[in-house]
Amino acid sequence: MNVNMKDMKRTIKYIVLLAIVGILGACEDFLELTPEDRLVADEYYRTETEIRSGTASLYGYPWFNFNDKFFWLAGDCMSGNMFYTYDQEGQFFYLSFNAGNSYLSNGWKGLFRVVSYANSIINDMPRIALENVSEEIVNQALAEARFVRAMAYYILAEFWGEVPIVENSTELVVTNDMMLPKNTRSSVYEFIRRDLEFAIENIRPDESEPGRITQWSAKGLIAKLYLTMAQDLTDPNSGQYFDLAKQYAQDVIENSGLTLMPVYSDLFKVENDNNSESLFAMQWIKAGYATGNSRNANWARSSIIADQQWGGGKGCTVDFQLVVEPGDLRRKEIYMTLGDEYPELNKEDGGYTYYFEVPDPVNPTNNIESANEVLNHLKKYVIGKSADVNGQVGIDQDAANNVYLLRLADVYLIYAEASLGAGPETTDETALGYFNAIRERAGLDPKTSLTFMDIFNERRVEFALESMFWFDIKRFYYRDNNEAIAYLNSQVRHYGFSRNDEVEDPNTWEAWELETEAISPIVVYESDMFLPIPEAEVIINPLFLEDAVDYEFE
Amino acid sequence: MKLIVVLMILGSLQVQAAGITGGSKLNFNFKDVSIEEIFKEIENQSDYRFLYRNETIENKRVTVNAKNDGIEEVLSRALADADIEFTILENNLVVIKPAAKKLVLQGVTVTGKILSATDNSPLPGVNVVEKGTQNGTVTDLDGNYSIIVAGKESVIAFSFVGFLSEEIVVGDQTTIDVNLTEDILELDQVVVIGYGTMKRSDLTGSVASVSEETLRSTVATNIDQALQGRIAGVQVMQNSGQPGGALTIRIRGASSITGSNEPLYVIDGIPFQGQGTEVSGFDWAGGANGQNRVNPLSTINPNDIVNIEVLKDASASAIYGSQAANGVVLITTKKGEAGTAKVSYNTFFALQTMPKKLDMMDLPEYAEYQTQIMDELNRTNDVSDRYLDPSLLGPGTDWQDEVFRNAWSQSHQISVTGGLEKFDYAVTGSYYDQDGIIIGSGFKRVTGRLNLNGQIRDWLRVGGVITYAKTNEVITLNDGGDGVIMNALKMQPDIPVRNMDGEYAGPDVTYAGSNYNPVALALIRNNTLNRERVFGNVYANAEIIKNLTFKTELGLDNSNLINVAFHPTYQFGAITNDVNKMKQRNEHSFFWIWINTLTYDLTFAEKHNLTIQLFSETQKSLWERVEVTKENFASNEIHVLSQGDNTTNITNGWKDPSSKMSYFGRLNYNYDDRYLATFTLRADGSSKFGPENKWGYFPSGSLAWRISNESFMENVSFVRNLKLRLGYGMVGNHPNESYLYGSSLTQTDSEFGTAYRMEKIANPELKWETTEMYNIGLDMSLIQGKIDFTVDLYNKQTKDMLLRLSAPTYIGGPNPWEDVALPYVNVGKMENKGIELSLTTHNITKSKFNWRTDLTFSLNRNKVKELDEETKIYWEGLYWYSEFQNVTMTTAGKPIGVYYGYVTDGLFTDQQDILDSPVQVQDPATVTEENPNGLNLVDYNTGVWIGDIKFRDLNGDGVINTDDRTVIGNPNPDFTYGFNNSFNYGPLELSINIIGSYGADILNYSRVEIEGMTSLWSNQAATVTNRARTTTIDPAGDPDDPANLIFANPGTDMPRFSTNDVNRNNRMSDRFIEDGTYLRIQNIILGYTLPSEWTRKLFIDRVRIYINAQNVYTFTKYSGYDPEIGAFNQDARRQNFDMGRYPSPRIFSFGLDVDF
Repeated sequence: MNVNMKDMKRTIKYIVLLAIVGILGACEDFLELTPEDRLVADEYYRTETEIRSGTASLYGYPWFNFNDKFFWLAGDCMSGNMFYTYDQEGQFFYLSFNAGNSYLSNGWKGLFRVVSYANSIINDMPRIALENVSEEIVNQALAEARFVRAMAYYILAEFWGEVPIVENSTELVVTNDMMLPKNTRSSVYEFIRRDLEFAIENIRPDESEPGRITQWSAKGLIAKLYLTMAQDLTDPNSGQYFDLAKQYAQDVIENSGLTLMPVYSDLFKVENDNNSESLFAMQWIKAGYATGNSRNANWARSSIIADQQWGGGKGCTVDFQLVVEPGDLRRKEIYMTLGDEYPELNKEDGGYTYYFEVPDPVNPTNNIESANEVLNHLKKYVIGKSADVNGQVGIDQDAANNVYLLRLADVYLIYAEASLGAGPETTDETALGYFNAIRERAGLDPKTSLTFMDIFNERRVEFALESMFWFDIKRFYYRDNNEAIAYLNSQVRHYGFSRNDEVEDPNTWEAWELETEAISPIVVYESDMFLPIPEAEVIINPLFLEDAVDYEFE
Repeated sequence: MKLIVVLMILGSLQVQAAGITGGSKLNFNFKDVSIEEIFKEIENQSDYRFLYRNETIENKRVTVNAKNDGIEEVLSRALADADIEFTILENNLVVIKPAAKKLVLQGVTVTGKILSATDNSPLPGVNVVEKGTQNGTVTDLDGNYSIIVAGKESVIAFSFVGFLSEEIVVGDQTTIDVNLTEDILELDQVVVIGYGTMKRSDLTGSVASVSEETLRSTVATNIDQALQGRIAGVQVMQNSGQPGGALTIRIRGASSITGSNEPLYVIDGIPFQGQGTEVSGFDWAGGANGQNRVNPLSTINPNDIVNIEVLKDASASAIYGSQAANGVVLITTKKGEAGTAKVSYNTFFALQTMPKKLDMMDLPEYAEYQTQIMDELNRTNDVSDRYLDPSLLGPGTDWQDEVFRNAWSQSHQISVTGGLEKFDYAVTGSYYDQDGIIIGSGFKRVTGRLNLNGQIRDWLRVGGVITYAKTNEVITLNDGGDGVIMNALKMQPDIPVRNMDGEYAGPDVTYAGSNYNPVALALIRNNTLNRERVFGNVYANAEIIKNLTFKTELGLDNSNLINVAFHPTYQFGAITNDVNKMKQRNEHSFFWIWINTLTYDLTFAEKHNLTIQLFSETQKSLWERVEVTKENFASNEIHVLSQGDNTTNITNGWKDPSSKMSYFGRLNYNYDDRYLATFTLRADGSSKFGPENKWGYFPSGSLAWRISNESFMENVSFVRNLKLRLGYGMVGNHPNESYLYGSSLTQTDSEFGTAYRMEKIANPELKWETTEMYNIGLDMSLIQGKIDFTVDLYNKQTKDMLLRLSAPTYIGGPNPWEDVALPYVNVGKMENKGIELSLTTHNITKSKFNWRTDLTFSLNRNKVKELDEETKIYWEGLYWYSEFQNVTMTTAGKPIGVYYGYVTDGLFTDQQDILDSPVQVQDPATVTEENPNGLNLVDYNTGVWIGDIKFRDLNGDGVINTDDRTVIGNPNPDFTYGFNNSFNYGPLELSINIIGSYGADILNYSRVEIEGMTSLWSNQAATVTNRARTTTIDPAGDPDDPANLIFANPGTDMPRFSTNDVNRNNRMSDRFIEDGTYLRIQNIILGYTLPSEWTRKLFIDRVRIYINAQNVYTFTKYSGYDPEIGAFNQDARRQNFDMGRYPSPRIFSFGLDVDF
C-alpha cells in the first residue's frame, strides 16, 4: 500500500495536469473554423482575374433550367413550330398549360435564377473589389452582369409580360420586404433599357474571350428591345423607337466586324460555338448535368443518332412545313424527313439516312425507328453521339453546343422590321439588302419589297427551333392584337399524317395521308398571350394576384 | 416471563369474512420487511393469530416468499435467522419467543444447482450464504454449488442480482436445487444516464429502457428496429425496406423544421457520428434521384448491445445540451464479468417475402385500355394488331413478380465474455448477410469488438472498447419516378423481361415517358456502398481521495466509405445508352472527443446524499470527400476508375471540419431516498456559429418524490413503488452543415474556366435552436411489482428554429448548388405536447408459467406556433414533379408539414354539369362583364371533359384557383401504440408484439403514376379499367359533341384518361391522400430451451432454438404496399410520401443460441 501511495501521488499529478491542459488549453481559437474547401466571399474579388471568374458564372449553369425544357416548350411548341402533344409538355402545344405545370415553373425560376446570379455580382462584388482594383474593371464586370440581367428580363417580359423587378435580394431579405408586386411591362422595358445603356457605356472594349459579352451584344439587344417597344403602334414614341432600333441595328451590322456564317448549317456545329455571327449564346459545356445543352437528348429521334434520345414524338408541325419555301437550304438543318442524309450523324456507320420506319434487324416485327404524326423529326441542335463530336456530348443531357440568344442574322432582320416601321410595306434598299442576305444564304430568291408578314415568316424559318418565334408572335400581337390572334387560330398545327395501309412500303410519301384533324383544332385566346405566373409563386406571394404597378426608379 | 396477549380481533374478523380456515396455504412475497408485517399478512390470509412481545421482533427485518406454503414452513424460513422460535398451538395461536442458543454439533454438506426460473438456464455466480454467518460460496458456471453448513436448522440464502433472493432451511436435505425467480421490479437496477449511471429508483427524469431480453425477442438488422413499439413516446418508422435503409425516430414529436429530428445516439458514452449518410442516386447519370439516405446505425451489430436507454425529457437529456433537442438514445454494449469464460454462438436464417402486391392491369386489360385510349385519340393506327382480340392474349409480364423475390438472410455471432477478479473482457465477432426482396439489393456486415476493463490499482480502473465494422450494401434506386418499383408498376405487360436473343427487352418506341426495363435497371445499374469504421474509447478512472473520483475518457471514430454508382451501356428495345458512366465517392471522417469528469460524493447527517459532477468536453470532427465521374468504360463489368476515359474525368472534393467545446456540471441530491433532485447546466461552444452566438447555455432541473418511502405509506402494502417526477430542461439543436451563417463561394465549371459565385446570402447572427421541455411523470408499482405503470405528460416548446428562409424564387432558392440560396434564419416557435403511458403487468408469475404484458401508448400533438411572419408558409414538395411542388405546408397554428391541396367533389357527368360548375378551365369566349369568370371550356384536349374531376370551390367565388386549397391531411398520427405479450412455460417462450398507428394520413404519390392516365405507354392500376368513359345519347348524333355524351359507367370515381390533363385531375388533392391507420402484428417469436440434461452431455450449457415471424400481418385500409412510410430522407416536412417506397419484407426466421 505504501508503494502504491507514491505511485498514486505521481499519477494524480499527471492526471490533474492533463485535466488543466484539457480544460484551459482548449481556447477560443479552437472554435474558429472557416470552410477549408471553398473560398469565403469576403476574401474574394481581389484581382481582375477573380472578378472575371465571378462573371464567368453567368453564361451557362444558371440558364439550364430555363433552357432545358421551358424555353423550347414556350418558344417552339407554344408558337406552333414544334409538334409535341404529350403530358404536361403538350400543354404548351395546346396552349392549355395550367399554373401547376412544372416546366412553367422551371422557366420562371430559371430566369430569376439568372437574375439572382447577376444581382449577386452587381451588389456584392463592388464593395469588396473596389478596395483592390480600379473602378473601370469593376464597371466592366458590372456591365457584363447587367447585360445578362437585361437579357433575362427581356425574356421574362415577353413570356409573362408583368414581372417583379428585383435589384438586390440581400437588401430585400435584410429589410424583410420580400413580397414584391408585379411591375408593369413598360417599367420592365425601362429597367432593361437602363441596364443595356450601362453595359454599352462600360463594357470592356477589348474583349478577347470569345463568348463573353461585347458592346455589340448590348447594342444588338437594345435594338431588339426598341423594336419590341415600337411595335405598340399606339405608343406616341413608337416611331422614335423604330428609329432607335434601326440605328442600333445598323451600328452593329456595320461596325461590329461580325459577319454572317456563309453556310447556315455550320451555325449549329459544336466546333462553331461563338462564331463570327454569334452575339450572345448560352455557353454550354460537357461537364455533367446542368452544365450542357439538353436539346440533343430531348430532341434526338432515336438511339441510332444519339446516346440519350427522347425526341421520338417531336417534329415540326405541318403548319411550319407549309411556310418553308421549296428549295430552302435551311430546311434540312431544321428538321429531318424522308431521304435526308446526314454524314455528321452516326459516323460510325457512315452517316445517317432518314426513313419513316426502320425495322429492328433482330426482331423485324418491331421498329427501331418509327414515324410520328408529322413525318419528320428535329435536327437543329441535335449533334449526335459522343463519338460523332469528339466526346462533346455527355450522357447527362450535357452537350457542348451553345444555344443562341442573339445572332447577327437577328440584327439584320431587326433592321428590316424597324425600317418597315408602322407602314404596310417597305422597299428601303438597305433593309432589302440585309433581308435578302439572309434569303440568299438560304438559297432563296431575293424579295423586292417587304411586308410585316414577309419578315415575320422569314424570321420564323431562320430562327426555327431557336425558340425565338414566340417573341415574333408577341411583336405581331403588340402591333395588331386581333390579327395576331387570328393568325394563331389559322395555324394548322393540328394537321398530321396517318398510315395508308394500301401502300406497302412505309418509306414513301404515298404510304401516308394528310389528316386535317389529326388532333382537334386548337383555339387561341387573347388571354393566352401572357403566361400565368406559376401557381407555386402565387401561393408564396399573393401580391401577384393584384394589378401590376410602375417601378420606382432611383 | 410475562406475556402480553395481543388479540388481533380485526384480523380474525377479516379472515372469517373471507371464509378461510386454518391450515390454509400462504402466498406472499416480502423483501426486507418487518416481522410484524409478515404476521399481519399471515393473519390476513389465514386465521392464525400471533402472540409475542414487541421487543422480541423489534427492529428485525426479513425477506421471505411464500407460494402455497404452510404456515410452519413459512415461519421457519422467515424467522430462522431472526433468532426467534415459534410454537403453533391448537387454537391457531402462534406463540413467538426468542430462540434459545444452540450448539453447532457437526457440519452438513449441502450441494445443489441454481437455475433461472424464467428459462431454466443455469445461473453462475449466485451467492450462497449460510444465513447469519460469514460462511458462503458462489455457484460455478453450471450453477452448481457446495457448502458446509452448521446443521439442519441452518438456513441457506441464495441471492443474485436481478433475481429475488431465496432462503431455504436445510432440514434433512443434502441436495437443494433452487429456481430463482427474476425480480420483476427492477428498482435497484442500475441504468445508464448521460455521463454516468444511476439506480433506477433515483431517477428524476423520464428515462425508458429496453433490456437485452427485449432486444433478443426480435430479429433486427439494426438496433433502431428493435425499438419499434417498445417505448412510449418513441415513434420508429422504417423509411424504406431496403436492407440497411434509414429509419425515422421521433422522440416526442419533431422539434425542428429543417434541422435533424433524429435523436443523438451515444454508444458507451461516446456520441455516435454520421447522421443520415448519403449515397449517390442516379441523378448525375441522366435519371432521377430517389431516397438516398442510408442508416448510419447499420454499422452496429445489434447483438453487441445489452441495453438501450432513451432519455426522453429535457431534464434527463439536458446534460447533452446542444445536441439533445430530439432526445438521446444511450446504447450500452456487452462487457465481461468475473468468472469462467462464457462462449456463445448465436445464429439465425431468415426468409423474407413480399407481403403485398398491387393490382395492376394484366396484358388483356392493358390491351383493351390501349385500344380504347387510342380510339379516343383518333390514333387507332397505332394500336398493335395483337390487341384486336384481348381474349387471345396471355397474362403478359407481371413486372412486380419479376423484380420482387423471396430473399434469404443469415446472421452469425460468436462472443466470449469472462474475467478474473479484477479484470474482465468481452470479445465478439459477427457476420450478417441479407438479400433484399427487390432483385439486386442486399446488405452485408462484419463486425469485431473487444472490451477490456481492469482494476489495476485499488484506486485506479482503466479500460476501453474498440469496434471494427464493415458493411457492403447494394442499393437499388427507389422512391422516385424512375426507381425500380415505379418502373415495375408502369412497365407495359406486353414487353418480356428478355428478348429471344437473351438481351433485356424494352419498348419499341422511345418517348420522353418511356419506361425502362426494371429488371435490367435493378441488376445492371449498380450502386454499392462499402463502409468501414473503427471506433472506440479508452478511459481511466481514479479515486483521488475518498469519494472524489476523476475520470478521463478519449473516444475516437474513424470511418471510410466508398460509394460506386455505375450506369452501364444498354439496349432495352428502342432505348439505348452507348456511354457508360461511373461515379465514385470516397469519404473519410475522423472524430475525436475528450471528456473529463470530476465526481464528488458526499453523505452527511446520514440521510443527505449529494453527488456533484463537473465535466469538460472537447470534440472535433473532420470530414472529407472525393468524387470522380468518368465515362466510356471498357466494360460494364469492371467498376474501377482506371477503366474509364481520362478525357471525361470530372473530379470534385470537399472538406469540412467542425469543433465543439463544452463545460457542464450536475448536482444530484437524495434525502433519505424520499426526496430527489437533479440540476444540470451546460455551456456549449460550436464552430458552426458566428462570433455573435458561438456559445449556448442549457440548464435543467428536476425533482422526484418517492411517496412510497414515506412513513405514511408503510401500511399500504399493495404499493411497492410510487414516485412523482417533475422536470424542466432546456436543450438545443444545431445544424449538420458548417458555415451556415456565412457566405462562401461556390465553384462551377464554365466555358471560361472555373467560375465562382456566392453560395448564399449570409446571416452572421445565426444561433442555436432551443427547446424547453416540461415534464411531469408518475411511476407506480403495485401488488408486489405485478403491475408497473408509468405515465408522463410533457410540453416541449421549441424556438429560434433554424430555417432556410422561405421567400419567392425571385429572391433566391433553397438549393445552394443551383441558386444563390436564401439565408438561414432563426424563426418561430413550435410546440409538442403529449402523453405517454406504459403499463407492464405480470399476469402470471409461477415458476413454471409466466405471462407478461407490456403496453405502450404515445400521443403527441405537434403545432407550429409562430414563424417569421404571421402568414408565412414554408412549403415542401416533390422535386420537379408537376402539380406536386407544393405538397405540405408548415405554418403557424398547424402541425408541421400538413398536406395542402384541393378538395375533390366527384366527377363531371355531362356537359351541363361542367357548364354549371365553378370554372376550372376558363373558356375566354364566355367572359362577359356580368360574368367575369366565364364558363368552363368544354373540350376534350384543351378544356374540361366529361369524366374529369370536379373540385370544390371552397371560397365560393365561382373559380377554382389556389384560394380553394385547404389542409387535406396530416401525416402526424393521432397516437401510436405497442402491445406485447410474452409467455414462458418452462423451457418454452412465446412473445407476440403488435404495433399500431392511428390517424396519420399518407400521400400516395404512386397512384399519381399508376392511376394518373397521362401516358400512352405506361401500365396502370387495375382500377383504371373502370375509369370514366362516355357514350353517345343519340347513337346517330355527333360522337364528338359533348352535348350528345353521357357517362358510360356512372358511379365510378376514377376520372377519364387525358394525356395533357388540362383539368389537372392529377393535381395535389384529397384524391391521393389516404388514411394510414394500421395495426400490425409485428413480431412473433417462439423459443425453446433444450433441457440441460441433454445438452450437458454435449458439454453445452444451454441451447435455445426459436422461430420468428416479423411483419406478420397488417390491418389497414391503405391501398399502397405498406402504410409505414416514414419521412422521405428523414425530412420532417416530407413525412408519409409514398413514391414507390421499398416495402418492408415479411420475415420468417429460424434461430439458434448456444452457450458453452
